[in-house]
Amino acid sequence: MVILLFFVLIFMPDAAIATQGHRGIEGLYVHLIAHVFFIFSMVLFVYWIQKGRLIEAAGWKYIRYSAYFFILWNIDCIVVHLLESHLYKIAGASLGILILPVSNAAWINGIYYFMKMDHFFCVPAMAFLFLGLKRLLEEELS
Amino acid sequence: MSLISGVISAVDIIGAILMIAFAFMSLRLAMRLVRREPHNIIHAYLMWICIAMAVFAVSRSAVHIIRQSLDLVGNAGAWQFIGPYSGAVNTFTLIVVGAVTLFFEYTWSIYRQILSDKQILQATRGELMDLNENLERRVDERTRALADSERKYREVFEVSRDMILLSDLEGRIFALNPAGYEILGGAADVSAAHIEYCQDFLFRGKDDWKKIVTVIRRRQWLPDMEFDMVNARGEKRRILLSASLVPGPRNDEGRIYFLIKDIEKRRMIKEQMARADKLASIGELSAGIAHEINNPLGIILGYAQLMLREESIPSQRSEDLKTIERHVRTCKVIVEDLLNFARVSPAKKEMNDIHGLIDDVIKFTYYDSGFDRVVIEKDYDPDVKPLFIDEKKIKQVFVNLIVNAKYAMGEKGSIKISTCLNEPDKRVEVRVSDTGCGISEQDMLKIFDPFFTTKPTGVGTGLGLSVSYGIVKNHGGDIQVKSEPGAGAVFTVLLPLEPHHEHIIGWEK
Ligand SMILES: Nc1ncnc2c1ncn2[C@@H]1O[C@H](COP(=O)(O)OP(=O)(O)O)[C@@H](O)[C@H]1O
Ligand SMILES: [Mg+2]
Repeated sequence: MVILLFFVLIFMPDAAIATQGHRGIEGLYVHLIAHVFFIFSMVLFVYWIQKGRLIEAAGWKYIRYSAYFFILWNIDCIVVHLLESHLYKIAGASLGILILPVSNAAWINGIYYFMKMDHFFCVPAMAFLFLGLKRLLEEELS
Repeated sequence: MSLISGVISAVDIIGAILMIAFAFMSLRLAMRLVRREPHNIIHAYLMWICIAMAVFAVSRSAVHIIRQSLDLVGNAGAWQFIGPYSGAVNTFTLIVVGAVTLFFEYTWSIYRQILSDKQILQATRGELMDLNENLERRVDERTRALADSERKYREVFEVSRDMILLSDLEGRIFALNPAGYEILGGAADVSAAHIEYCQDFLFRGKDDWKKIVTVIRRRQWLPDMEFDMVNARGEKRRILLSASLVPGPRNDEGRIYFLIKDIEKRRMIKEQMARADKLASIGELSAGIAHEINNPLGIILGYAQLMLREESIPSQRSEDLKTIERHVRTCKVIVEDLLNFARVSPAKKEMNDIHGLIDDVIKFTYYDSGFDRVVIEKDYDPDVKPLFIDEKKIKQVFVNLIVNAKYAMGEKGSIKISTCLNEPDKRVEVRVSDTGCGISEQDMLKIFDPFFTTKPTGVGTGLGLSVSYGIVKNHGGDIQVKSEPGAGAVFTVLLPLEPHHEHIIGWEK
């Protein structure tokens, strides 16, 4: 749903000028695309790990978990960025992509603050990556 | 609100520190993995991920920490400057991780292909090396095995006591083993040049050969069959032959393998047994008849003599009576011979000087009949020691032989009597040779038969040689004959050196 929205936004017609300028909101677009790209690559990665039967080695199991957490983290980041833009818009700041169709902003604020603590996802992801590598190395050594 | 933001700040800072720590620790591990196996594409990928994550962690988490501390310090303006850089780097690292991951799959499949190719290559290389290293040894082993088997078959061929012969369908001989040369050549040395076609030896005439080849061609083989062959010395031999047809090396012409056994000896033994059998039955029969006839003959002779005594003056009657008496006497001699022949008397064997014994016989035969023009030569071997024999019976043997020889020569000629010690065969050989008429080939087979004689009735009984044969056999010896018709005959009496324990032979039961 979010991704679909994104593609619509990306391909929205703009004034076609030979050398494109890079102003304001463009950075946010690029950033969101990068997150989606990350999710896409991680999904593929998990798929290959399973297909390639690497899962049988204990190390790769952790690396897969790490990939799951990275996916979650990216989703979290995307949500945060969208909420952020909503809040900015509400606050009357110039940069913003969309306004959520909600009247009460209080609980959105709550969610926003909670979701902003993305370390709950990216730290476990990194930790699992570390564990996986450790296992792989141990297996190599034995 | 400040409490919440405080918590958030704390979580932010702790999370950021953990992020950096884990990122760098992971990077270190990945680098170790790469160092262990520099060509492992998976490890290389993991390392790239770790590098990107480390950069991300630094640009994001370090910046978070800086921001938190800047906020604390109250220098928000500085953040305005750093913020965009941090964001850009974050975006960039995210894209790097994604891109690297996407490429990973592609490289991974190629890498796997390379790995399996490498395995195949290594296996093939191993095989090649192995082949190369062992080729010489294997060739060596094979050659040795071949030589071994060749030698084995050659041995069978060379050592076999039977003749092994290989010929083509025309009868041309390809191969012949030593036993074959011996059988074909007799005692004479026959070079390969003389043995060219097997029909010259094995089968009399071309017709026999043709018949045999047709049979072999049709049946592929020939079971054991008896044939007569003539060897290079012209001697006749009995052979047992089997043959099989095998395709030739170029498949065009068949070849015939012959396996041939010389059964001449066996045949001779068979003949001797048959002869002994015949002697036995005739002996039994004639002994019975002789007994029955002997008494009436005695009575006839007695009455004839009685009547003769009553005739005082010579008359036709007395002449007739004399004729009766003479013929009855002849009958009695024959009957006595018969009885002698069949007598079941145990031999009285003692140590006897064979030379003295022969001298007695010569004297006796000399006086007996006028041996005027017949010369008797003696050639005694001084090594011959006395033998354990029955004097009377052996004398009878030599009387028979000498009388036969004399008769064969007629008016003049010479008889040669020689003795010789045959140490290896442990026997004494006494040879009686004459220069008489000799014995024809057909008669040769029959001369030992009882009642076989070529002499006119009244002169020969045909019992002499058969009786002699029985006696010599009972001494554990043998009588052999060789003769060239027209040039004389040689009778050889073989007597064993060791005392022979009498056993039942022929008719003497
Ligand atoms: N020395 C010899 N030379 C030629 N023929 C011989 C000789 N001895 C034996 N024979 C042949 O063998 C036959 C059998 O001999 P033998 O058994 O002694 O009976 P017989 O003397 O009564 O004929 C003779 O009739 C003769 O034909
Ligand atoms: Mg005689």
